[in-house]
Amino acid sequence: MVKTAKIAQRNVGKKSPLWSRVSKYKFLYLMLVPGLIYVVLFKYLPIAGNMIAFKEYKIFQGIWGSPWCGLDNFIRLFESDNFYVIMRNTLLISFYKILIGFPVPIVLALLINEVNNTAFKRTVQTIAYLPHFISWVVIASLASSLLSPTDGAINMLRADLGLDPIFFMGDSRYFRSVLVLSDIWKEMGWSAIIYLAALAGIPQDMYEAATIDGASKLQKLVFITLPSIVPTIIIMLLLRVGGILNAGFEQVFTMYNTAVYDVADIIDTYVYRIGIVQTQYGFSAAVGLFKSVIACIMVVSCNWIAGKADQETLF
Amino acid sequence: MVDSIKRTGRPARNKIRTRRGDRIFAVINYTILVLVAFVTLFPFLDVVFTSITPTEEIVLNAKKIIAAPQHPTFSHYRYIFSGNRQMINSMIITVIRTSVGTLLSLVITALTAYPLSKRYLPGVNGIMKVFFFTMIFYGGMIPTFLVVKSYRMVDTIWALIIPEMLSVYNMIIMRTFFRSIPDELEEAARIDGCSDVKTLVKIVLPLSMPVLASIGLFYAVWHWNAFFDAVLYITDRNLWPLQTLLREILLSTSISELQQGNLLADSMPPSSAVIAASIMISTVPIVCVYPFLQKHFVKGVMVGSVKG
Repeated sequence: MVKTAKIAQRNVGKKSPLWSRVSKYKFLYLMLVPGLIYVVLFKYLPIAGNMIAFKEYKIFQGIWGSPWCGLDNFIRLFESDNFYVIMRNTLLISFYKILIGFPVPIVLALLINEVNNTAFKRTVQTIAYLPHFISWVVIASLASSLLSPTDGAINMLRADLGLDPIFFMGDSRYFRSVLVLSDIWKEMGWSAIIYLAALAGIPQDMYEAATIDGASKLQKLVFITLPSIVPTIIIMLLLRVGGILNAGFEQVFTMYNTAVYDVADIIDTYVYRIGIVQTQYGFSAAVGLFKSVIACIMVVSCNWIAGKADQETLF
Repeated sequence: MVDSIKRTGRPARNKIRTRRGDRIFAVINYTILVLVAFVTLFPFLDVVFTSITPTEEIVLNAKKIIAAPQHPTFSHYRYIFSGNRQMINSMIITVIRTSVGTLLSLVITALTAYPLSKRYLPGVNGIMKVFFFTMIFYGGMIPTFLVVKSYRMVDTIWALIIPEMLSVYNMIIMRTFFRSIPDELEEAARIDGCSDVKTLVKIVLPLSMPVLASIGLFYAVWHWNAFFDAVLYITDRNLWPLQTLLREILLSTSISELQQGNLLADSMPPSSAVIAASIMISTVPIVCVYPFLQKHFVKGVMVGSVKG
């Protein structure tokens, strides 16, 4: 109400011509200039540069001067066997990460929320956030030393139990599990923050009333806690689904090796190898553009559903 | 606030009656969380130990899952720094890109977020869409690479600072925070004769320390951990940041190179120790910083997810 009054107040000057309104705020517009120049130079020009996907790239003519080749790059993409492999890997890795990784931070948040001891709670949270601040380069190294077939802790444990060592990082049967588990390990604490916030927002008197009525912990969990965080869960899930084509470039790039390309090569790593390493700019840009378009459609539709869900569950 | 409600709410609940089941649940809960903490810390503990274990002990401990050093030593750290100047060089590059990059990013993010937080600014929604669109449609690795290359930034430190200078996501978090500052405050400053710029510097920014701290941390962490932009844009190894060098060391093509001109070359430690010490150098600084900003970034994450 106060806000509408204020807008009305400002609108008093609405009769004046546009220019005088704009010049009144000239400093605000000036502040926007660096940001706008940045997005034009580093975001919009690359988007325009996607025209290279419809061209046959010639080094000396660059993006803008190379000759057109129509849809050749896309036809080549859809006809290649690699297309099927990288699509399958991208979708499968993302799908497993959601299926197994999505519930973990929710459970973790529920567990942390049940802790009464503040010092213990804070310590667990701080430790759980730690891996989020570590680069994938380091984590890839931690993973390969932990999973090493000769002196890794996991394989030594297996040896103590009389089992044969497994080369987890170099075996196609295990590599996707390594990706999914290391991703969960890195991000579960960080992802729990949002659920902890939602849990902290539940009015405590609901629990008190339930306690007086003789409700058990489990009943409180099922009838108070879970329904209260369902909107958050739905929105987070939709955001994850929207980003399904991002299977985790930095992670795969730092962890994979030629032995596991068949299960680990995702769209982004393929674009890197074909484009940057083999300098087939036109073709790799076509692969990237295909991904960007599908990703954009996914993100927009998931955000739209999330917006709908948000309104329905909150009001 | 919520915490205080909880603190006053809990004892009242406990007074009624602690069920046996609740107690069992609490024990299981604490056990699981201790396990989570252990699983999180174990790989780091291993690295910390290895990095300070003398070479002879590492050989002895080869068949142990984890072993604390009997005679801790910093010789592996000395070894890394006593080779050619590659490691020190990379540390300097990382420190420069992190400090300069974070500062520039904070400035451009605040400059963009502040006007966009003003609902009364004519055209503000249209301008916001210009920024928002870059979040949902990504130009792609190859076109971005070719465009940045054409700006002649390749093989300069600017290639590590400018191409990812503004994160629209962080900008939106900051904009949401600016909107929570009462308009009356700025109005009062303006009546007292403050210009827009002065209002931003003297009133808004001092009130925004929490959001500046958390976004500053997000940018700093990104810079500190980034390795791929140098893979794309830096061919000159003298300009490689720490993480890119670390990746090379891990691919163990560089270990021999680190030795070149190394006075201690004949006492070369095992590669696991070199890697462990390198990991420590590249992670400890960030690990020392984030717990102090925890309060702020937790809020930052929440704000960012509530309003898109």
